[in-house]
Amino acid sequence: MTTEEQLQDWRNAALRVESEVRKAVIGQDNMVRLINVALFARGHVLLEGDVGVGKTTILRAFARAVGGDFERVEGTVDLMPNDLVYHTYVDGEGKPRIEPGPLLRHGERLTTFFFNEINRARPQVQSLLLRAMAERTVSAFNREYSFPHMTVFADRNKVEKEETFELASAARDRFMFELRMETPRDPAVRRALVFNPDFHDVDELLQQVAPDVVDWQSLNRIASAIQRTVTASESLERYVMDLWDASQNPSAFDVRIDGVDMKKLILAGASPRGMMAMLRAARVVAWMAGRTHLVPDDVQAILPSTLGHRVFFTPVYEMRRAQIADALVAQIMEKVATPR
Amino acid sequence: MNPLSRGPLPAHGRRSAGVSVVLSALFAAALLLQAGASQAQADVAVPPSVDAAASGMAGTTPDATQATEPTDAQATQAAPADAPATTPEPVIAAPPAVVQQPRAFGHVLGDVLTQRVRLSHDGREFEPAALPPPQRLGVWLERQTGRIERDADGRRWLVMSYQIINAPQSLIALTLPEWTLGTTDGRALSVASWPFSIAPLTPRNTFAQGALDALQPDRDAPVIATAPIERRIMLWGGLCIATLLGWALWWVWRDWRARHNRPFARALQDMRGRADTAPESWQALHLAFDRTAGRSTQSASLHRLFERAPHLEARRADIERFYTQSAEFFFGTGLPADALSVRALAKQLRALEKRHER
Repeated sequence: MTTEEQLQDWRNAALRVESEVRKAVIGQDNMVRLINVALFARGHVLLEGDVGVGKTTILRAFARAVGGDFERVEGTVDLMPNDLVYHTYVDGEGKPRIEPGPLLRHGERLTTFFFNEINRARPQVQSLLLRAMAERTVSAFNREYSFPHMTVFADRNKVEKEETFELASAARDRFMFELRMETPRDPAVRRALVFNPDFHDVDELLQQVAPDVVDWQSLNRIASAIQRTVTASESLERYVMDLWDASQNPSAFDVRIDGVDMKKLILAGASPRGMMAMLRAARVVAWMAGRTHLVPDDVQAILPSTLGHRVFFTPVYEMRRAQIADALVAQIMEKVATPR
Repeated sequence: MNPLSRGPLPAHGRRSAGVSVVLSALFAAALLLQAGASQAQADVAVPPSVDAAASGMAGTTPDATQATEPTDAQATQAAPADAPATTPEPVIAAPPAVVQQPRAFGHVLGDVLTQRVRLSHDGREFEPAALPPPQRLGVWLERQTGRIERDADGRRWLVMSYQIINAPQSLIALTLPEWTLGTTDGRALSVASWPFSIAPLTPRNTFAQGALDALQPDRDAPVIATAPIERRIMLWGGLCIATLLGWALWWVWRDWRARHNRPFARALQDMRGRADTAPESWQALHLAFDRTAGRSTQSASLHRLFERAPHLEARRADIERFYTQSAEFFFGTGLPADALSVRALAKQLRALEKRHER
């Protein structure tokens, strides 16, 4: 039985994780908050962003604060699924050897798995990863390997399109959040990033982050407790249902986007899995705010990150996804009223 | 026939012709010789016309317009050569001028009589030394400024005009005064007096018979067709009234619509018949905030409301409290004990929005 004191302690720990990560990563407060939410909601995160904005740094900082092992894989066109599971080599004595790959290597200690440039990897690799994400298990060497504490962070390179394999919509749906990490705009932050030598050496920078702020092995338990503790009122349920309806039929809520025929825009709205993820994340936001009930602001805080990549557009509008998805989510937030 | 010619002879008639002047002078001289009355001599020896002639000025007598006896003197008499006076005194008697007198009869109040004097002395043109000044002559006449004109034959005439400025009660005879016109070289021409008649404007007594009353009734104004005018008045008046009515209706409708459409006014309407603690009342106020902000508004997006409707800033604390309590009510543990009155808040906000709209 989870007591209120325990929840309070965990909340303090969660907030401390955030503050520790902020020591290493500046100008990305919202990003830090959302990754933290994903961590405590046990959701995976698809990162999209400019090159060199600190995606790896922020993930390493989290891995250090949360504890457990960090693993990083570079997505390449010749990467095969097996490369994640094991790798073969000839040892010094000339014998062939098989070692567990990056996915298996850490066993249950794996907490943060960073797949860089996932859209460069072949669909076979992506599907293996998706299974690992969904079930947190992989079959190899005639047995099941499980990584119950793993959180997958995948980076999607949005700049280059050559030799890339765009994530299928089903694959995107497995990620709780799609976060866009942008270059900080605050001039003071930009100046610090460029001129402050503290930010130049990542390893040294990460030393400033206190390790093991929260027990990584209890993350699942904490997440479960949060989900059971934070309640949603009838009004909020109606609001979330309205949001779901709006993602499927925006014109019913008077959602309009310039230059878009709203009746022909949506191929499929958010999936039930997507709505579940949204609620899980919203509950964590409420918990972090010290509440045991959800309010619309909690949902709105994570709505852009949970809904944008889950709505499937008709092909004619799919090419303008980035632009239309943002406008659609903003409009849904504006038009769906609560309480009602 | 000139009516004046048959009128009674006045007791103290004034001579109007140059001949008469000469005769009177001779008669006066005889009296002087016989009676030796110096006073009489002074009166007659220097008649006004002589004075005027000597001074070069036109002379008038004060009673020049008194009724006079008919005379046979010809107005347009061209030459004075047939004057009966045989012993004229050339020193004092100016030769008569050639005068074209006005019509002697048929005048009434306001008529202008024009006398034309030929500017010729001994067959030679001359310049008058001075023209008679415009002035009033007794109760009957007003002399106007004289002017010189030239006729078709090139002869020059002095034109003198007299306006009748009084109306007699019966037909009477008057006389244009005699006067003398001096020349620049000291000579003079005399202009004889000229009788004329003036008729009254109305008879003294009315006939009092039948319709011959003192005043005749006013003539009826001619009847004109008013139907087209009335039709036009009806048409334009109707259009005008229709326009005004339309405008008034539009104004009332706009006012009603504005009242009906103002978010907080509408919220208050929706709250009618509901308790302050009813969820519907709170939802009505939420809807009003959403409509004011033009979007769904929550605590975290309240700044959007104040950006859009800065006039609500005055109630910012109340609005924030409403959102906090509403979150508790709808999403939390229920309505707090110290819940505000949504109706009172809506009324305050309605006043703000109304004032802002003006």
